[in-house]
Amino acid sequence: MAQQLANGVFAGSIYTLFAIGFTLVFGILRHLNLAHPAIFTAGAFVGIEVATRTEIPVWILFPVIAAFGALAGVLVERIAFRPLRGRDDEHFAGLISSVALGGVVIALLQARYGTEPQSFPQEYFPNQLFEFAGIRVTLTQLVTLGLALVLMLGLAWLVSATPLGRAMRAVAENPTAATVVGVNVGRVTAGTYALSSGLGAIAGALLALNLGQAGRELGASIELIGFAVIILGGLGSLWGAMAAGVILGLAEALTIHLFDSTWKSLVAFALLFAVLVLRPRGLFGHVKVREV
Amino acid sequence: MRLKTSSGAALAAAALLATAACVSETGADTTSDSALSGAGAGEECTIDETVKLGAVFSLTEAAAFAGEYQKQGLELAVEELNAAGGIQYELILEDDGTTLDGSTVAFEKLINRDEVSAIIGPTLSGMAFSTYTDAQSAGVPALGVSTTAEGIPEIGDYIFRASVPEQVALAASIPAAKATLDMQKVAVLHDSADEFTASAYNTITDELRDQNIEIVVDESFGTTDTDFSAQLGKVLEEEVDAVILSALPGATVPLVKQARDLGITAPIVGGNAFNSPVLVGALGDAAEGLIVGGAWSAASETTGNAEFISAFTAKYDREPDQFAAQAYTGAYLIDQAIRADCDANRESIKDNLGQILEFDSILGPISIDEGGEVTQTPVVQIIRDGAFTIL
Repeated sequence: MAQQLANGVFAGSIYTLFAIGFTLVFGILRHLNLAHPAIFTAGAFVGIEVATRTEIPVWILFPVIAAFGALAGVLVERIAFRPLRGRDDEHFAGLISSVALGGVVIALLQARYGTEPQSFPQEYFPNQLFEFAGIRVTLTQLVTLGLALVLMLGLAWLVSATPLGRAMRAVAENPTAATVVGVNVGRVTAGTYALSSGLGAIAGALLALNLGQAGRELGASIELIGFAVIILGGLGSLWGAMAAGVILGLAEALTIHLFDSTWKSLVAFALLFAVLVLRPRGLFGHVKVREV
Repeated sequence: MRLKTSSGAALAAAALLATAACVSETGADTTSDSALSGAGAGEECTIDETVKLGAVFSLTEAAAFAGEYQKQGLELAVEELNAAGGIQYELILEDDGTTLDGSTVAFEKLINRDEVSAIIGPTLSGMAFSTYTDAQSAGVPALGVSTTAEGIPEIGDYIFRASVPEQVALAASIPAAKATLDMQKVAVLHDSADEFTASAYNTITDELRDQNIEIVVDESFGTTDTDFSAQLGKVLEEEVDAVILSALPGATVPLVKQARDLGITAPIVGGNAFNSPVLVGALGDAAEGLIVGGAWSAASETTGNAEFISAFTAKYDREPDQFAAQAYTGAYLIDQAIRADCDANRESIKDNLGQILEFDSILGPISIDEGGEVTQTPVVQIIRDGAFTIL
């Protein structure tokens, strides 16, 4: 039982990392960036390639992946969202163009890496096993949890206490007013995408490290549950996404423990429906839709 | 979402109608082409016209891990057969993209447009159930080289397979594992969303019951699942002597790796899907002690096996796997069936494929009965020091 709870928290921390990147873009810019799962997958593949070619240590690898993700995020905004700015159907069209861009990214990954799943080099990250009070955890799981916590708290601090964070909140509140008071909306937009995709790419590499391999469907496998996390937590709410990620991870693990694994998705999504009916704005969402 | 579902349904309905139309137009084509029958018999057989051989494999998407090997094994065999002379084969290879639609379209093309003499494939049982119905009604002999699910040869008298059914492979590996490991209590993990693994699961539970082995953990997962920590957590809570796994290679690699990472040291027993050098490569040390029941082993001293391995490795710069070996054998079986009456017409191939008795192949002596089912002794192997060793 305790083992299952621990597994739930580890799974939940990856859901959360995926989801906060997504919800950040929505909270500030109201863009639904559906290329996010593809960037997540690309983060895993690029991480594996860099690790294989250079054998740099993990603590250097993750900043490299984050930098790749950030760059990819800026490109996603330039290609899929900026050309549509100011159109009446800006949000809907952006949603469609980001789906298309996601498809392009996955096709590029297939062209470069083929159809076979890729894995980190055997000895790259020696996976030690620890045992605390009868609960077995691997070093990868601990690193995942630790990194997820640091990134989440770092993001919360960035949004609440730095000039960039203040500018982000200003844009979220009212983009026109933010421009009037001198906020560079273009730069804030690019910064938001860079942060979002940087986090997404790290989450992808962490998941691949936990699973032992990455296939092109890595992002698609987590996409639905990631969206459930965002809605459960309240669209646009960072703290909500963090809590909801862990709640869904625990719900899945407990379902498998108490019933059967075939009920896993059913319970997770039933929980989502229940929350939507009882609290339509999600667990942590407020009446005001846009926030950071 | 609704739009997607309804348009998908409309497409499916249209495809169904189209297939139905094709089938009713053509019907079973029993007319024979005299240019496709030659003079002489057996090794002396000479046919003037090039014999068209169709193949449908999953060369892209989920089952590409198998399809690519099948393509290479088959191409190697056709190359060898053409070099041997007497009959010239033209191989027409189609990719089904691991989709049912793709497989149906590919069969339709090979049957009606290319008018092939026989078809090898498809890669997955799930697709064979539908495409073989088309081949049957069109009167085209089809030979499965990896379709191991229950009920495939029963589709009709034009349907054959040269792939040991999963039941037979597992029925051999479970007693062999029991003898070696003294298995009393086991965990069974299976992919409940796939036709092949779900049918294997039934075989596993039956076989375990026959052997008086207790199942203490019984868990399932989906084909695209990647995180198995919850299921493996249940295995950790019990003392098991072995884990029996029925999964496709896509899930096998992360599952076995996660099991080893979590400290599950019990041996893992699996069926056909385990039988691949790619698996050993991807798993590294975690592959040690895996027990695999399958149709072919690189370590088997069957007729032509060493030559096959060296020719394959020289041509493709990688070692063959079971999928390659079975596809390779498939081409030789069809060649045997054609040479029996020196006739490459569909009817003659159908009649003779069901008469193959103890053909000496790289898989060992192999027979196909009139019902289309294969008889072959499966090989049980264990992975030791990174190599398959016969148990």
